[in-house]
Amino acid sequence: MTAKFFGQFLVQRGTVTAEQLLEALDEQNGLSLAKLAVAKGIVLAEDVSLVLAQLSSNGTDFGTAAVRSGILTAEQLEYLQYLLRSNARSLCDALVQRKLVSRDELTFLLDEFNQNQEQFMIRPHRLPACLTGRADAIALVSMTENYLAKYGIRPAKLSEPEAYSGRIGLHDLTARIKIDGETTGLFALSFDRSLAVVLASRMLDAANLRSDELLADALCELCNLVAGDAASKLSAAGHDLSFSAPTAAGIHEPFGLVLEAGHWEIESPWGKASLIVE
Amino acid sequence: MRVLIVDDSVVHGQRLTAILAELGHQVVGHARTGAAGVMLYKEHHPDLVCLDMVMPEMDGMTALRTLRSMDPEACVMLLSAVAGVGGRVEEALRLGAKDVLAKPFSREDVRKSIAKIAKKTEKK
Repeated sequence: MTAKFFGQFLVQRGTVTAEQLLEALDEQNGLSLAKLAVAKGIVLAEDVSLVLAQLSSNGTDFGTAAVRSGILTAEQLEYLQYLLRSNARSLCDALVQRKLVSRDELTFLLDEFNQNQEQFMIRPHRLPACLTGRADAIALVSMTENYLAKYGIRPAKLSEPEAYSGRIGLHDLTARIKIDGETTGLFALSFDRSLAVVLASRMLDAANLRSDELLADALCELCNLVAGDAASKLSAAGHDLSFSAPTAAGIHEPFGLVLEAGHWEIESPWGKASLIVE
Repeated sequence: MRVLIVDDSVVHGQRLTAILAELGHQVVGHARTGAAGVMLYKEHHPDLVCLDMVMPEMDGMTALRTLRSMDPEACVMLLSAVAGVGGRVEEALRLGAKDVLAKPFSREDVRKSIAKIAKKTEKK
């Protein structure tokens, strides 16, 4: 499984333990945030010292404690966290200072991490006018393509998107996930039964899976994996979005309608599918 | 190890059951909600709980808190497709999860994670 963050990659690779990563992250999230807040002239060093002195006793992180004590507003904290996220070197610095890795090793590890990331990058996709500016839609379409390829559903050709209003369940089996946060909507995948059979078989490494419950569950899990990876990429880019647990329905129990959605038709050797984002 | 799986996904539950059996572990139950998982934990007292993070009704984080407050020694591996979302892994580890396994996982991913957990448990 491709790690989504450099820290997670280092743990998976066995370079650092989860505990060592947590300690480094604590340092990065706490002290670095504090230093950055002072450097940006947002807070006074004396105020930071007071908040940091209380940290060890109450177990909260610096950002939360600083907002609680009133020296930072929630917006200022968000801004500082954004700056920290966009500066990946701070975790590296913490790891080097703790002598967990050397600078030379880091160069090699960052290269390896970036190569792994490229396998699951978000690629640009055209959106219909009703989804203009929706980074989540681009991420969801891109991750769907990635996972179809991962499970050997290829060639799987996505059509150009079109504005769509109508039923969500366009094929035999449909799964959907609600999108919440900076935007609200839904993401749905609807598959021909024949294609769902191939998907479930690939997911379980087993042949001839035909139970409707299992096929619907496989489709739900595909939605879940796509949304999970999209959420990770979007979170890393500073977006605030969450996705619900997936739910499924058959052709005879459709989910209802969407009014202003984007629709992509997916063609494969085993049948057709639809991707809808509202 | 005697393992309890708590995951709303039949597909992942079945796949994990097959992998665990191949690795020589015994699956004592598969619950599809966090609440059912807590009930099965009380009944079986497994050595390891493989707990999905996103589930309807009671999610994995809530179930993890409940299990750890009920039994501070409960050994839990979190499974998640959203492990990379801001701070989830760190939060799960702080709550006492022994490891977080990102979905979709391979047999090798499961083997490594269980070995890591066994090593941590041995140290104690």
